[in-house]
Amino acid sequence: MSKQTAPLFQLADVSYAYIPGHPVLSDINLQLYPAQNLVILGANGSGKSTLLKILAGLVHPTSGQISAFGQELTEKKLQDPAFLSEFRQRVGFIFQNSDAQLFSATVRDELAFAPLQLGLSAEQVEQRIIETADLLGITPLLDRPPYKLSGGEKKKVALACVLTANPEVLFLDEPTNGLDPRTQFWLVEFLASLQNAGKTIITATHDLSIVEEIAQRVIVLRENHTVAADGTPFEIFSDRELLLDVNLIHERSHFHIGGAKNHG
Amino acid sequence: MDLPLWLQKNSPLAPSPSKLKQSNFIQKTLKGIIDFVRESVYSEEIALRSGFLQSIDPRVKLVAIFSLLITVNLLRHLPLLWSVYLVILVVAWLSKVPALFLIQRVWFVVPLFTGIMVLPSLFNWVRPGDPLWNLWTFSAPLHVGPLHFPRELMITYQGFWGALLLISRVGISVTLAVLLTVTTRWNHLLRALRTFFVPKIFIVTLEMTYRYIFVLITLLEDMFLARKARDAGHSSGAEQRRFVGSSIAHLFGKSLQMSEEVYTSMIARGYTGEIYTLQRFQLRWTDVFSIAVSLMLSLSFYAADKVLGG
Repeated sequence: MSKQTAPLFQLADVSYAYIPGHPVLSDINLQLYPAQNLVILGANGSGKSTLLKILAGLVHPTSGQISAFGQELTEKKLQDPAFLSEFRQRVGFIFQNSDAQLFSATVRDELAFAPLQLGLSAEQVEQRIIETADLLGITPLLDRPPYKLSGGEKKKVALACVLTANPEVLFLDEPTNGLDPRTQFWLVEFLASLQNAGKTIITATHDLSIVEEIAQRVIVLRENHTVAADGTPFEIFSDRELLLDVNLIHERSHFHIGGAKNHG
Repeated sequence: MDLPLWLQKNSPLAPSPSKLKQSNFIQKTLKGIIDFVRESVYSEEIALRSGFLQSIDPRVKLVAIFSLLITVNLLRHLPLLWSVYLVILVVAWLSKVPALFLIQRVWFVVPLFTGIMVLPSLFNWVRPGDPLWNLWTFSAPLHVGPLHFPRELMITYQGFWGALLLISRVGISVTLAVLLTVTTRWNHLLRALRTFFVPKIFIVTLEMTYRYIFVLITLLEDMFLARKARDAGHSSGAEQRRFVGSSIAHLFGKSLQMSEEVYTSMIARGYTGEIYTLQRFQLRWTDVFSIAVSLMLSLSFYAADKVLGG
């Protein structure tokens, strides 16, 4: 872990509640470092998605402080046009529900949305669309409306429409949900190549099979919305008691470290 | 895990209902959903064919069809009006739009609705004129309150031709509109509107509305199929209506939730209230030629109408 470098994100005593008295996140203290791929692991309803949205500046904590790229990340700060534009360019978010993410009339428009918002010229945007579509193998889909895509295609388009803005940090919310094994495998490999390119990938999931593949660090959220553990995938998966305690596995689950690495 | 006893063996079959309910809301709604999807897929398929209208710039198409629409509604001579229709059918043929589809879509519906509207004007009691067909002769003139009606009830010459003219105009106008929408993809049509000063935010909202109709209709289909899967034919009409009512409420809640998610995902990609889009239309010589031909055609039809007088 490259703890010598300055953290990308710093959370101090962050809590969040939709309704007062019913927190979905409690006293989270966390530091995230560049190029350190993180998985936020937790059972359903443990607050993974909310934590991800707080990091991405989409919702703001009810108490506690958060800083991003060395600056405080607050609702007010995000109203500063210069900071907003810089922040949105550096941070990309892939939502769990691809249908919510793909709101444009065609895939091409979808891919154009983010770079156009960032003020790139039409030529640059066209260039990025062509290259990103080629990279993800979605060129034949460019003029199709999103409702005609399959689940896997939608996920690829959702990924592509964030990548066209070329963010440094990529947040993924339950990325493997509803994907067939082949597309899941493809996604893991693709994330690895993004990681090699120096991107920071932060994923919220309860899919244990992909964790070792995509993470260098894992934090586990407990069902009472606090951090239960923070360590390497090996450390976390060696602690069966912990995984049982946070309700991620069942007493009779067959689970072994390195289970996902059966493809050489 | 101990299953309760009744779950450990198959239950005896429930008595079957004496007869199935005729008014099956669920079945009807499902059929409506499937028809909607089928129709939109078919329209999209026509819009992607390599035909004449499909190859023309949507902005040009919009101007050309608009000019023809104005002309059609200014013409007063039926033969001229129907020659325009003939031209439209030729253009439809060149654009690989099946003539039968176009005719069915317009002429099965338009005469019905417009017909009801113009029905009273056929009769001499509403619009006096020269007799065409005497329907009934009363023994004495009729008086209803302050209204006085003549003894004869008849269809007038003026009423008949007026009604025919109106129905023709409406039918041909609708044909033009159908031709425009089936040969142009929805998003291109909306883009074209933007050239004619329709505000961008309005068009983007329409685009998104169209997009999410499909998401919500899939959800609706799932809901109705799930309901159908548990329907053994015992549910009453009232119960079915309650289900339709609650599904409307559920869909409303769901669309509200979805709109929040969509907005968040727009924010995440840098949306600040201003929409930017790529404009990719390019005028070619065929477009310029087509617009010239359509304008000339409109003008000549209008001139011919003036020459014929009437």
